Amino acid sequence: MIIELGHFAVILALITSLLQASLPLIGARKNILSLMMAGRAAAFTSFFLVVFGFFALMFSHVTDDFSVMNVVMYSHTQKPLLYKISGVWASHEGSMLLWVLILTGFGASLAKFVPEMPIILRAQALAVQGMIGFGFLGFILFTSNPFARVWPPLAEGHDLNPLLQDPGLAFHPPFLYIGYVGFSSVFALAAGLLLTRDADASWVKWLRPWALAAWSSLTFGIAMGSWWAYYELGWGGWWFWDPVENAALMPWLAGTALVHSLAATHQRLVFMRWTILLAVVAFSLSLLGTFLVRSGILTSVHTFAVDPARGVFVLALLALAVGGALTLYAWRAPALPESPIFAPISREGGILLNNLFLCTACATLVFGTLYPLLLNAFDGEIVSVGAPYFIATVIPLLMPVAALMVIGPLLQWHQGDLHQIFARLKYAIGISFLLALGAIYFVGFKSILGLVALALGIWVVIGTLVNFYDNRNNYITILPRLLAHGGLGVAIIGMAGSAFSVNYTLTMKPHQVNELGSYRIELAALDEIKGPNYQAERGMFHVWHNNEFIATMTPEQRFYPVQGSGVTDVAIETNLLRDVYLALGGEQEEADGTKVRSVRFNINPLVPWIWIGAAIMAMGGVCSVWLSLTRRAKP
Amino acid sequence: MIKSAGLIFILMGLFLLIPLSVWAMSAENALPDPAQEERAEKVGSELRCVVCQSESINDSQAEMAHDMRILIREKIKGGWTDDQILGYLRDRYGDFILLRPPFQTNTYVLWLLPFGFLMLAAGLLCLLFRRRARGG
Amino acid sequence: MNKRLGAYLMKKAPHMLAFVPLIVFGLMILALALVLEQGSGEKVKFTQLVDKPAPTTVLPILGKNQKYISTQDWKEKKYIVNFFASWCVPCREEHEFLLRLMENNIAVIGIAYKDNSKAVRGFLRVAGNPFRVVGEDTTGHAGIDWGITGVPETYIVDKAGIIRYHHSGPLTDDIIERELLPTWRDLK
Repeated sequence: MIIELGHFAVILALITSLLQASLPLIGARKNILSLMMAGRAAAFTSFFLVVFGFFALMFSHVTDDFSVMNVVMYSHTQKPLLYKISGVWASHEGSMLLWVLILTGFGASLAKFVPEMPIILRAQALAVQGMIGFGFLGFILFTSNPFARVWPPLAEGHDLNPLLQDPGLAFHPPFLYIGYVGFSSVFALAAGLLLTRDADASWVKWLRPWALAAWSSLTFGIAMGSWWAYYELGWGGWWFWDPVENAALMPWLAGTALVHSLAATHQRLVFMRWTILLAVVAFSLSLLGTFLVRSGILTSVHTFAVDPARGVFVLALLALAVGGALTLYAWRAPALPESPIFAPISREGGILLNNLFLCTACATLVFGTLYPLLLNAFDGEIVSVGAPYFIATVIPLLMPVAALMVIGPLLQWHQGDLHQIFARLKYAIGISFLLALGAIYFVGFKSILGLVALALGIWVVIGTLVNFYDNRNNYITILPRLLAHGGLGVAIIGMAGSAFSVNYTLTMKPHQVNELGSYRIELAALDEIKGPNYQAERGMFHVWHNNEFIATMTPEQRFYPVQGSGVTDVAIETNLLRDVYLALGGEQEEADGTKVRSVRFNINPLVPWIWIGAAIMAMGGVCSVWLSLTRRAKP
Repeated sequence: MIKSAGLIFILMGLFLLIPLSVWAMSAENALPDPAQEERAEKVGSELRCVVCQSESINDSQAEMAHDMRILIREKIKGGWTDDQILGYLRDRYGDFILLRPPFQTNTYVLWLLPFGFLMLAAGLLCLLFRRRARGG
Repeated sequence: MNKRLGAYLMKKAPHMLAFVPLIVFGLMILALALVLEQGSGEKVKFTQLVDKPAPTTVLPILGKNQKYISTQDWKEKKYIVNFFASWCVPCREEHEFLLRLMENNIAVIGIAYKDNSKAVRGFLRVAGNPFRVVGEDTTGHAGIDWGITGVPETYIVDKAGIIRYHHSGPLTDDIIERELLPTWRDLK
């Protein structure tokens, strides 16, 4: 019963979002205040209806209602409660519902927050948000209905893929989607601004809170995903340049460019057209990612039956939303106010350079990810574009950004003075140089790219600290930037560290002791253990470093009988300077017939800094949203 | 295994990397010479697992990838160069297996475009500044 | 004249530039529509070795201690190579077709891929043995040498030792009648 109510609520939301898409737009045209205000009511209603639908589905999952198809496919009575909840968005259908929940949530936030926003801008933005909501609610109801029943009901479900039964993966999609979808509000505001004749350049500032919120959440979501890959996939890698990962990185790069150019437009009314264009591009890359992941065009070698209607539907939504906005842009942008003049060496110039490199990196990422698909569709030829390509192209394009991010913020608006800045930074340059030399002494010359990245990371952290010290009496206004830049510096150091990881793959018998570099490991015992919905073999390892005992580590090899598949549960021992990373592999037979276990033992220097840095960055974004909301509230 | 079971791709989150079988059947040991082992790791990172999504064979838990890792180490022990090993596998699995697309007719655009993007954007900026300087 | 054209272009430039994003985006949508229309992304077929010399494969013969089969010994004859395994379900499906090839007096070399001798012998005893000879590829390296991506896979090699046909996946009636047998008969 509740599931039908949920279904009905989502159908109603389709109608209210249609009202949201039309009424305020008519109101704005005819200048009828009540119609413009009706958009806010419609946005709230749509949100609450989708919330109801979402909780109806969650209720069915938590109560093991195996008459609901979605529950049958992805749940099991023995599954822990946490994963019954996260199982709601583990399926394509359920995750689309979460997507729309967040979309309508952002619609409601557009209706609720920032009371000083011009009425006409809010009305038009709500209308655009309503159109997107209408499109995606239609997508759910017509191609991906999570509320479908099965008859007769089943006694038991198929359980969830064991890789997804993990807290990291359970909770990274919501953050990732808040990031992806958050750009819809930025997009809606940009389109709303373009729809208004005589839009003022100062209006661009209304985009800021949403852009920063989306950016922070996306940063956090991507970091969580990579953290999950690090400890769940069992190989110690944290970023694979997989097309699906790239799909999340594309809007992040565009979004990063956007928050910078927004700051310039906000402060100096420069780059207004460019900022508006970036706002449209950031969301269109979110939609492109959604298309790539949901259409099934990426499942290459082993095609998984995907309903082709879904791909067509999302592509049509992408074409309509972004095509519409860009047409509007082509028509209206030339009439937007010109940028005031500034010298090439100035804060504006720095932000322009930042945008130049970020956008080139983003375009390369998009093109490289799509290239194999396009080449195959046009020529039938096959190439692969993987990590080595992106490391050779995207990373060098991003390095100048890191190098400049200490200098840029110190430049004056309008006209800057480089000499003065280098004078201020001479100690930072000296300290970074010494630290980088020290680092080389410790890690050696194994990876040149890693060393360059390490030096850059140190430079960014030291430069940011110096900047903080210079402003220690009045740092609150620049706190968001200090956190975001410093956090990225920390993350870069972590990424660089992983270039110096040392890996060992070996086989061990119980009670065997191995010397691996300056480490010694002993496989003390192998036990069978039983979890709620899995069985596992657990290895107990003792680890020493330079004859000093470090830890007892217990990696597991889990098997989920319902799904018939297993996962490796690695053990990680960290002291923040390095991770000791242990994974237990399957049973193997030596040539003489003795049974051994394969073991993977990695020493990953500095890797935890990646996620610490990303969390600091996201905090910077949150801080900025908070400042922009509270500071404006004061008269 | 590979063709019968089929891979289940979860099209929901960020990652699509599913192990085929839980690690390996025959023993896989690192080469005793660290320099050779480093070469093996490097070659492995350049090769795409032929039965997975888009993982390198170093990152894949598929059995085929495991066999290739052992094969690479045997070839290195046998005195093959990195390029010979990559060439040997490319002859069998085509350009698909190379994660770094070779610089050839059908990839000129791919390799030159990042540079092109940068030059185009930088050129546009220069033009803009010159116009500004003259106009203002 | 040129100057006036330049000035005109300068004035119109913002208007023309504003269309660039739309055009680029339009092209991308068209390309993606084409990708979608062609079906699911890249269609990968590993048939690189067709029309290339067959690899020289030396493997222990199943059931014969210390005896080896080499594809070199099969020069001057045309033959089929079939990679199979006792643990592979589709291999059981295609087994009847292999038996039919044997009845038609077509020489098929079986290569047991990543299997153990006992299981292979058991499988062939129960299902029937369609192979002239079975080589054991326990490491899977012969499989890689032939460019397989799994089992079963089937190759036709001509008298000059050149691979003329490669099929991955189980054989079916359709594939045998329309592809495999015609290719086989065309070879002198």
